[in-house]
Amino acid sequence: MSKDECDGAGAVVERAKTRGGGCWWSGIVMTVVGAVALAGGAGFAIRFGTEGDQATIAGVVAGMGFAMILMGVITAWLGRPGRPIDAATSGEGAQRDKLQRARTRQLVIYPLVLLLFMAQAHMAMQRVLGGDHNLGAYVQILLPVLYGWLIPVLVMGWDWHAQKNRRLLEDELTQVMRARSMILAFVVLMSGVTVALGLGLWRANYGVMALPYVLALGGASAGLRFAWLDREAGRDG
Amino acid sequence: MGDPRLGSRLKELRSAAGLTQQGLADRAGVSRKTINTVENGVFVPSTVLALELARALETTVETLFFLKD
Repeated sequence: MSKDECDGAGAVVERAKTRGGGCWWSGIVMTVVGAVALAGGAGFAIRFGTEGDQATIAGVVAGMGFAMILMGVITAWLGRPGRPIDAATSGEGAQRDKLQRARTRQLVIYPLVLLLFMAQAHMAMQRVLGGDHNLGAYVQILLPVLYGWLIPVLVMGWDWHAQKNRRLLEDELTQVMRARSMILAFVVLMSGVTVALGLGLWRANYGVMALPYVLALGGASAGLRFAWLDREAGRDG
Repeated sequence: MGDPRLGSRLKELRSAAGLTQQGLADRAGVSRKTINTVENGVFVPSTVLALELARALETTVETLFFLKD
């Protein structure tokens, strides 16, 4: 290795160390906040019982806390002090690939999570439409809707992480894949709303029940289409 | 994304320059997938990207891309 290459590798390792330090502390903070949410939610449910609105909200807070602990532990592990740093896999090209792979992974995982939330929301919707105006049920309905929004936000690169790494995540291919994904999502949304309108005219309750599904499907189709195009782009030949 | 009228010598010239897809991607400041899709004719690059690729390979855009008859 020449002196220039050595200097370059040294700089890359230094950059990776700095970035890793940030990941380590973010992971620790995320884990602590998650633990507090989990303990608070579980403690509340144990102390005040496991039924009613407040217990449902406590359950949602505890679940979010658990998810934050998992993400925090993984983030802290990836940025742990003293981890081996390979200059060859820490360069800009490798970093770009890593970030783009992570984005694609998110866009596959989120629609799956959305499916779980949707199952939960279906029962909650039946309760609300049956006249049980329970705050917890509204929260359960809101979760898949929020995820339905979150996926297009990630596809569009409007999230904080994408903004921070804009230079590495925004290339021409990404813009083309984004446009194609959002076109599909728009068609799915238009079709879904049309079906929901038809259902609503027939039975008003069915029309309302269909809307969270439509939002979730629209969001999920954007994410899954993007992930599919990204996979296709990586194929040789 | 592709256009059947566009021909490309990108793969040929990249190999002649002894570069991998990742190597060329690093030089042009794009992802390896971008290079892969341009080589496979799946993606038509913009004028700016075509110029960047030509500069990275020390050639001209006309040498890299041509219109098929």
